[in-house]
Amino acid sequence: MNTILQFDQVCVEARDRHRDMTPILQSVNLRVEMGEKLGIVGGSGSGKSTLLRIAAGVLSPGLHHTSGKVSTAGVNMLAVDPKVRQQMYGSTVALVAQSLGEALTSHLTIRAHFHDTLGHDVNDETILSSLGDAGLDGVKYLQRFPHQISGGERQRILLALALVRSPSLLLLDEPTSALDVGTAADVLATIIKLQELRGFALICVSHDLGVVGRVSDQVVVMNRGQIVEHGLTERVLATPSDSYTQSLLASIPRLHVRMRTPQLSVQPPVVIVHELTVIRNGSTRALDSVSLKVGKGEVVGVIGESGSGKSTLLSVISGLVSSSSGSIHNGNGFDLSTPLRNRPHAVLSEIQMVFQNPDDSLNPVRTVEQSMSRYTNANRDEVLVALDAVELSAQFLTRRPSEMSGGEKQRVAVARALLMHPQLLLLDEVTSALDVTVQASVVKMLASLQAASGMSMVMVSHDIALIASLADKLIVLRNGKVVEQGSVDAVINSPIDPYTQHLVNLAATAIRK
Amino acid sequence: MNSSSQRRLIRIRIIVYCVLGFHAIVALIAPLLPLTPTDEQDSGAMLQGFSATHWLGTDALGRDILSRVLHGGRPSLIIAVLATLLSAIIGVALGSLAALAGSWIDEALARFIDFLLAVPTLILLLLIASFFGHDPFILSVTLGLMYAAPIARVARGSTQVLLARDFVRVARLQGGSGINLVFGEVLPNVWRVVLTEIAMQFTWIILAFSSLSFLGLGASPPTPEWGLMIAEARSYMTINPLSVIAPIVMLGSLVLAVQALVDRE
Repeated sequence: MNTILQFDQVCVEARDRHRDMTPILQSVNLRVEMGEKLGIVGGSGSGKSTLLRIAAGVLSPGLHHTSGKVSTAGVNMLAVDPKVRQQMYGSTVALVAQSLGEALTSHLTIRAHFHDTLGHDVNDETILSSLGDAGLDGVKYLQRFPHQISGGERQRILLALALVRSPSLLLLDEPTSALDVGTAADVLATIIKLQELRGFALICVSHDLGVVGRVSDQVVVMNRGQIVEHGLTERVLATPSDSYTQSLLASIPRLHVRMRTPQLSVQPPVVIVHELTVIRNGSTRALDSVSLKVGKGEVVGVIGESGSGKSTLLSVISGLVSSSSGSIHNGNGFDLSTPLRNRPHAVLSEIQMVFQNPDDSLNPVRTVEQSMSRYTNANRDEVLVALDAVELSAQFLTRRPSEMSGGEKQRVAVARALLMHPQLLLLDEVTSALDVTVQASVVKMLASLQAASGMSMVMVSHDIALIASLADKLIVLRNGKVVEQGSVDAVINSPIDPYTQHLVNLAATAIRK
Repeated sequence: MNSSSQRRLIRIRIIVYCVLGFHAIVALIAPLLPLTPTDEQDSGAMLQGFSATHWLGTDALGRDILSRVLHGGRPSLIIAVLATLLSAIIGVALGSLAALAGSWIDEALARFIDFLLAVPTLILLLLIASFFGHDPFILSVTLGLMYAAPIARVARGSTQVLLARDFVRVARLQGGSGINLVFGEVLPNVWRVVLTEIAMQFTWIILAFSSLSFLGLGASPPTPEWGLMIAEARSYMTINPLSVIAPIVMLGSLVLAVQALVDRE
């Protein structure tokens, strides 16, 4: 067999302004044969994307290749003449980068993108057949601009562009992380089909073991710049030998594994939403007649794809967004359509929210203690109690957001909400930006927090397994409407709505190949 | 960034600090220096070049150029500092208020800012100066108002971005009021950008005042002021080029140094 990619003791370091070195890749050895399908998994900062980019001859600014030999189809793409490298792009090796939004040029049509890649004399049939291979039919895409197509379609177009010159090695960086669960599964199926058809070597980097499990024969697990495990995908997923791989696997939420026992008794409500409708931009119904009751101590999970209105629902309950019609009250009958600034403090503190992006939820110039006490007027002891509840020590008091990891920032955000002693905590995709191991620890923390305080929660997520592990009740939203709701067991054991069925099926087969 | 370009940046920074330090010291202690009085005329030595008594020579009236050039920044600096302070206060208040209020208030204030930006500043200043004379207070207020517009625009834009961030939403959910949000969450994160804009406006104000003096409506003779000195000396610049070059170098170095100082990122 031909070796298409080889790494021999490759070391890469990052040098910062003070010339401090941080190892990014440590003595990485890797060999990929023609036609092989390799998956690379690891947490953020494990060096998996760097490895992939080096294979394509790209090294991010600030990184230095210090030692070791890299060979892509016999050539060191990092050192080769830029002209040769340019020739190799697309014909020998193709990289599909992670960020869907930035990978296409916004002022060029899809046809112009192909002309850029293939030259202007290419005819439309070639483009159409290439788009067809990637699962896109019809002439309608040729004239469209990147902003006129959905994320899944964008990913398919990137795939078509990457494969149009028949490279022997296709590099995929997080091919599905920006996509909805259903779309992601479809795109992966296309990738697998194309690989079988054309026989190129495939390297797919992902933080998601499920994705890697689907597309690869061989899997490499990376942690802190090192390859900790390398083997057949089935073997690694079934009987991992490295402790990091084991914790990675154990951290994946499973559909039928509960973090807490669902409560089924009916409790007095803390919030009652009735026929709530939110109209955006004149006519779009972000929410359409949504009714919902959250009982005391109840955990309600809301799932739906992007654009389904799940985040809008939380924003309306919190009071950040006002509704167009319908009513929303708290347990004492207070009208929660009252603007935030007109609410009495007692009502205000009842509902608190934690947001999706850990980098955005804390003021970058403040220390943890300042962030937590500024509006809550909590003293240091109270702050310490709240930090303790989210399993953070006193040394975090003086840290700033830049000195904390994503998981730590989310914990601080939860602790800050706790200081208001809320009855209802709204959680908007709080773990989606976190590594799977960190996600597991945050979910565990939320479960024990809920058990200890007895507060109600409404949590939004696109991950049905994750949400089912915590919630008592599930609500499925689609296009702003509730398409299904009921107890967790009822929904995941016998889903009625086709979309829910699809989600449950995907989740049930996520790890098994 | 590689180390040679880093070294170059450090070198530029040192030069910038030296130039600014020189201007600050000179502006503060010029009256204390053992210089010829600025309006003392040496009728025996008009339009002279370098000499031991007049290091930079003399102008058409036999006045010492060195002494005049060292005093010449004071009128513009006083007005520029006053006007900049005023424009900073007006600009930041206007911009953050617009962003915070939103809806029609924002729309109205934004159009007002656009209006200020559209008015040709120098022509307005000429009008004001010809109505109210050389009153430095009125000039400062006018300059302050006119140059508040770009600051307001920057403050409004950065405040809008900040207000949409999650930590500001949390602050609202925890009962933070408008003032709290601006001073507690927004300004600590945008002051760098806003301060850069303020410093840029400071240089434009200096230039505007010097232009006004050059046109005869800013500082009035015999005050030593760079713009005025250039105007007075330009007819003789072929005889004694120093009389024009000296104030130009002073004005140019001050403006460039301030701009280089804030342009480092």
